[in-house]
Amino acid sequence: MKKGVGAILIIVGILLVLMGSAVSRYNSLVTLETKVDASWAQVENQLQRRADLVPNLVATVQGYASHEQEIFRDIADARARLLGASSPGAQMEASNGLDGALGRLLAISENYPDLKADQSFIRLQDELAGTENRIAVERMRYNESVQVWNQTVKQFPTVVLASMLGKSEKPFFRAQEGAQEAPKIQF
Amino acid sequence: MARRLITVLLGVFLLLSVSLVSKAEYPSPLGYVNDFARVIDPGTARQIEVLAERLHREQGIEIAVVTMKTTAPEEPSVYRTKLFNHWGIGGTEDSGLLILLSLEESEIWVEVGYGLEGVLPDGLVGQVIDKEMMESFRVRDWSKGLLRGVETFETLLRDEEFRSSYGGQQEENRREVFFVFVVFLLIAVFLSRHSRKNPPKNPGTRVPPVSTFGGPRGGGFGSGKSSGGGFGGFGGGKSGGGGAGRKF
Repeated sequence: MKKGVGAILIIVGILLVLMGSAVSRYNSLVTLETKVDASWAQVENQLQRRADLVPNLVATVQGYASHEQEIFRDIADARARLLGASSPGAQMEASNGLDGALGRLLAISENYPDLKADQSFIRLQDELAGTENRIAVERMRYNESVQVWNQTVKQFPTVVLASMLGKSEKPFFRAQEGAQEAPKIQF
Repeated sequence: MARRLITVLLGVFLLLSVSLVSKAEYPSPLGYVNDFARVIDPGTARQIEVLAERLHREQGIEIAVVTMKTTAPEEPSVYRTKLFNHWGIGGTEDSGLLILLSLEESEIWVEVGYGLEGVLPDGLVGQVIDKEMMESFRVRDWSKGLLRGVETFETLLRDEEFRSSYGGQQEENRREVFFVFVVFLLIAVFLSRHSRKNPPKNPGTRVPPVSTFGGPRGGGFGSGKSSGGGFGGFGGGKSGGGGAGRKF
């Protein structure tokens, strides 16, 4: 009889340990996921900030280069796509699209010396450059949190728990090729 | 004997590894002025320190002026935010300002902490750089450029009126005053032409040119002595990458 009780106790003990381990792993998953969500919210803030700058910027450029219709349409489209994006993945893509369109707008502005000398245009360019920097910083912090998440979710044995919960890797926010740096102002 | 030798070797090894680790990326702050590239003359450095001390004392804002030969291997755009947050410029209110001059990259950048973003929007920061610093930097007068920049920021942060009238607004005021001056001049000329019968009128109705070139420019540096000894470090503020900069 004693042997039976002993065996049961051991099994119960092992089960308790496994449960405890599962609980603590679950909690760290929750913590990490919250971190990722929080840092993504910061990225969204800055993306919104940039989206808010765009109409002013476009209006200022239109004051000097009203016939450049194509680029204005591209920017309006890119901005609409960003504001309408519902998932982080879609937002990332739309953001990169807006990056490209803004880059082209600023390149076009190079051909208009009066525009380049306009004080409000210079101020808006600074605001845009500052916001691009902020996006870069938040993106870096987001990617750092995603890296930790991805590592945790893939390692054994957490991977077992994760797949039971339906949790998997999250996407990094990669900048578009060639659009790495914020548009710079040169004198 | 062997034990002592081993202890010494261990000690040396530890020292080496520690120095290797701390050599990693960021220098330690020396004070408000961190002239790692050695381009600021001592007199100017002291003036900047005095201004920074005043700003800290009166408003709790921390300014760090940093000059570097280069920020390599990192780009200035990455380096400045990391340095800002590593040093924790600005204290609990995140009221910090980092002015970073990197010579090889030919770049001046002013990074604004979270707490100051409302008061010093990127556009305003860009204007300060354009008006106060670029001229000096183009002729490589780093000391003057940095001093003027710090003076202006100090005044902007202290004086709300100066802040609201800085920049574009100022240009309009100047133009208006000039216009009024010209009109009065014309009237005075007109009057003096038609006053042969009357005794010559003293055209004292001319408006004296009003100086609207901004308020006090950080005058009165005081005779503050810079505290010798070590610098206690900054207060732990954070920045999100905001601010403005220029290449020269």
